Amino acid sequence: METLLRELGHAARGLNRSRGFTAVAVLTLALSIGANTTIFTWASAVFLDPLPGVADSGRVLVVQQKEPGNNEGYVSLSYPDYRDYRDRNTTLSGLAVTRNVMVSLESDGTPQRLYGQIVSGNFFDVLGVRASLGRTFAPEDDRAPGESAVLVISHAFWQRHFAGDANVVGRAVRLNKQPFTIVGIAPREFRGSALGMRLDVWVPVMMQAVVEPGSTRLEERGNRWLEGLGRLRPGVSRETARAELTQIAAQIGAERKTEAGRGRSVGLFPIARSPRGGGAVLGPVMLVLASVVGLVLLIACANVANLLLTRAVGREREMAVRLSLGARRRDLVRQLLVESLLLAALGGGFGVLLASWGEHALQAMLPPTDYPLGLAVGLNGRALGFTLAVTTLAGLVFGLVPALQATRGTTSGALREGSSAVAGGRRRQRLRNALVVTQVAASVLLLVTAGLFLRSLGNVRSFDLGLDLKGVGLASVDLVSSGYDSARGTAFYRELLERARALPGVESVSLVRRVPLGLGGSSSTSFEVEGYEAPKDDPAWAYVNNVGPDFLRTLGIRLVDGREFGPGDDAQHPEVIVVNETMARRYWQGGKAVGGRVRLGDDWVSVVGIARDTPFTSVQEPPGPTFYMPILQRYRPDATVLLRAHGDPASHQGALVGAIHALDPSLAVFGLRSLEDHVQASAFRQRLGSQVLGAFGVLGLALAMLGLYGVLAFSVAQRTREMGIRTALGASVATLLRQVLGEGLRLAVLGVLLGTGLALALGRLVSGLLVGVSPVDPATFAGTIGALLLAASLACAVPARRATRVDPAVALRHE
Amino acid sequence: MNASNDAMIKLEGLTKVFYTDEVETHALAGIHLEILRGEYVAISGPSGCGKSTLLSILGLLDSPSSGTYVLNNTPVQGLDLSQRARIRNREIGFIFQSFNLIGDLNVYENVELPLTYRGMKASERKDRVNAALERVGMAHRSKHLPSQLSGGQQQRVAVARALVGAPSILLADEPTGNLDSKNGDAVMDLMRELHRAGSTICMVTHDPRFARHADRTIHIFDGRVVEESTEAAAAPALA
Ligand SMILES: Nc1ncnc2c1ncn2[C@@H]1O[C@H](COP(=O)(O)OP(=O)(O)O)[C@@H](O)[C@H]1O
Ligand SMILES: [Mg+2]
Repeated sequence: METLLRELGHAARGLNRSRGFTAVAVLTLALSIGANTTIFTWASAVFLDPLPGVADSGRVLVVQQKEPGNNEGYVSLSYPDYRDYRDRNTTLSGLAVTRNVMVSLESDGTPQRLYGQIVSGNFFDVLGVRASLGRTFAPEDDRAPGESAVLVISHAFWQRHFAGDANVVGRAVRLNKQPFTIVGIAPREFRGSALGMRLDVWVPVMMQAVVEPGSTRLEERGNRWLEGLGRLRPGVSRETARAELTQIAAQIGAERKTEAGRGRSVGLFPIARSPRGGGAVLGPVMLVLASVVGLVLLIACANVANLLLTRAVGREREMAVRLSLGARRRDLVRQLLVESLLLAALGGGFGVLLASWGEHALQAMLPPTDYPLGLAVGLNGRALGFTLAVTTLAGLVFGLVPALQATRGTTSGALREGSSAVAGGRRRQRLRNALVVTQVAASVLLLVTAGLFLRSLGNVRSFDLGLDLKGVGLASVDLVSSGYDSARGTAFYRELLERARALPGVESVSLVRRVPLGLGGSSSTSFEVEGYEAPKDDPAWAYVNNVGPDFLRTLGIRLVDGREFGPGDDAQHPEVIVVNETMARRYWQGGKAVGGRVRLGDDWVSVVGIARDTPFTSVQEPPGPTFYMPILQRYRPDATVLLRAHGDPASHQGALVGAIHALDPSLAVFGLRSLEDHVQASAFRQRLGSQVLGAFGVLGLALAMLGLYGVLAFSVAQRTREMGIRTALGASVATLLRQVLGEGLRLAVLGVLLGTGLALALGRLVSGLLVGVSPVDPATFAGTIGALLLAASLACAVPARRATRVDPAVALRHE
Repeated sequence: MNASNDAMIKLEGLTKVFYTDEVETHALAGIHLEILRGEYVAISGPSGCGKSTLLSILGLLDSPSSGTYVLNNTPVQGLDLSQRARIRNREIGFIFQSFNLIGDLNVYENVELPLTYRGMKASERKDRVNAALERVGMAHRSKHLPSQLSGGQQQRVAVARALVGAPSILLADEPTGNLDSKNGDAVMDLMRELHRAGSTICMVTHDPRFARHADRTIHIFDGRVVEESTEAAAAPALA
């Protein structure tokens, strides 16, 4: 202990003596450790602590069903399905269901638009969440539809809106214009069960029909609208539970003697890995970011190791003297390691400071949407523990090799090295060179990836989406929370379309339920197609969207055949749909889709048009089969108005809101944005990727170039005498320049080759996040390599010039 | 005496002043000197009198503060950097007290170095390097690194490197200073042989034994030539 303290003191003095070295090393480490801590806090908010406030969230699993042959993968549960799973399983200690909803809450006149969840009565129990004030829901709240008009609000909303007033419990409010009572306040940390969202209000599932007037899906077995959340019983594995639930699914199918249940399987997913949750969106990005900061740390460690190696050369005599005084080699190694750990600790300390600052950067990079997005990012104990581990590891990694190297020499060896008869010592440089090659390789990898993301981002902007993005403005309304039924809602749409069309400068107006490329998810359905023999386990399916008249024209989607919807396609007329090219091709296989018929539920509806394919869920995916239904015929209360007008869409916003409020002044209008912004928001992962990777790529490049410069400058300084000899022997300035530049560039080229190889090999890991650019895109590679070699030439130019400035008469003086 | 009559080197009023930390050092204070083709000139004088400075200027490693230096009828003042490099490479061969071999290059590569700066063909370089190593008796060590050789052997390699390019003049700055007397003698014998074979040599030494090998000894004191002596006595011994 005493030795350790003495050595710490010794190390501190040593670092203090060489402040320049210490400053560069600590800064390098602080930046890279700070980056690692930051990304760790982000990733841990997704993977390790996806549901803050939930007890033991690792045992809470998302329950989803998979229909045989449905390409779309997993789907939600219907309420009757849920009841069966809940009552028959023995492997879960509890199974709850939730559905995210947007509601309007009125407590003192002004309605507040809030995001919340419809939840089963056992929701809070299953999650292990207790009210911080009042109560949560109880089994009574689950008993009969419409009876439990109670709600729990979030701690944040309580503070924000009620200023933390304890009398709020028991207060009567109106939710979607219906009377409710606040019965409890959720704990501070709890944000609901949707990863990546901060929700503010919870309502019992029995109140579904009140919250969503005009729809009574509680008892419909085919209506899958709920997400299951189960907690594993202690000692039960995920696989056991999954097998049991799949068996229950089969039982349900057998009892009801329908096709539906047969071959259905159940999937159980950790919160962060639910295929339709926030983790599915953020997970891959986090993975890329984590690898990136890992690389940055690697580069930084290589840099510091190089600095230490350089330092070690200057201390060889000191080491030789210590050895000759009887120190053992491991004493010296330990002393040097104490020094590098002290360096790492300083870097780690400053790194945490940087991270506390980067904590909020993620929130700033999340897309500008209407959803209350937000991760519970925080510098908690776990993050600090991680930082400590990374710091120690880094200290050992960058400290060990130089320590071994520095103490390898014998006394006489140090003397021989110190003699001046022989110039050079480049062989000792090998390790330093290897470190520089590693650094360059890692920064090629970083920069190539950043470049790919940057191109993706550009592509999202210029991609031929099959849409004409310019000049379209969006505004959303929510008729549910304002208590509209389908008759009133349809009338409202009709009138709004007419008024908006009459606004000055407007070319066309339409409505859409799901704006393409939004984050709001998608709906799909399976159906029968007249004249198409679907394989047994592969029923015809497609994405569905409800749209108004002139939808294709307003978005600039080309009509390939037939017609699009007009104002006459309403409930009084025969049901019609428009299909996209993929759907036409797939189910009419060369025949004519227009005039064909599809059975949706019990009704046969006719295809009246074919629209060009446009991506629906994401720009990355090829468009799937999709059909459009007239919203005036099949009412949906949650629509977005699309307005195509001359000039900047923003300049028409006021008029559009005015037109809506002229019809209903109390209606909340939200999500005012241009279609271009909307599509850009959908590219937020690419933006996140290119910004963060770009920043880290530049950091990595700077560190690598610093390393290259340092190694070369050191090598030139070490070889002042050699340069003098060469000059004396007649080497010209150009020859010397070429020699040193060549030496540096050889390292850079080796690094580039290695890095390019790695980037080619690892490219497919990011291909899922790229848009319209191949992970081996030659232009990106060429650009990156060119930029890197240019930077490397600059980094080498300074030492090279210094080599030519060596005064041979001085360098060769015999001292 | 095998010196012919044309002056290969002609110095007039050569001075060199070093400025360091506001101190002026007059290392050379008006040197007049001629060295003829084929001559063997020794330079001697106490430490710090300016011998090495003079040799650096002769070898175009440094420039005088004033005065003229004419080498092979060419005034060197007007030469640019690349012309000076070319002259160092072709006309001058250096031998240093501390050998100054490059530690990362083996014996062969060290000797080859001046030729590579000429862009000579590899096969020709090989012949020349081997001949030079042969001449100094180091051909059997061509793959060794300098650190694997004794001081005397290293200096012989340095001599080979100096003469491989067939320069007009060899400049040697206390070539035996780092050697024991036996090795020192061997290097001096080598120099004498080279001289007999026609080389022009200018060598700094303060060992009077070696100075006696030279045709002429120039004594420098405080940056000035104070005496010139011809070692006639030594001449019969050479014959
Ligand atoms: N680069 C230099 N800067 C300053 N002073 C120098 C430099 N080179 C030589 N001198 C000084 O010039 C004088 C002559 O040096 P030098 O030619 O090396 O002497 P010698 O070789 O005869 O021992 C000495 O006083 C020395 O200190
Ligand atoms: Mg000297």
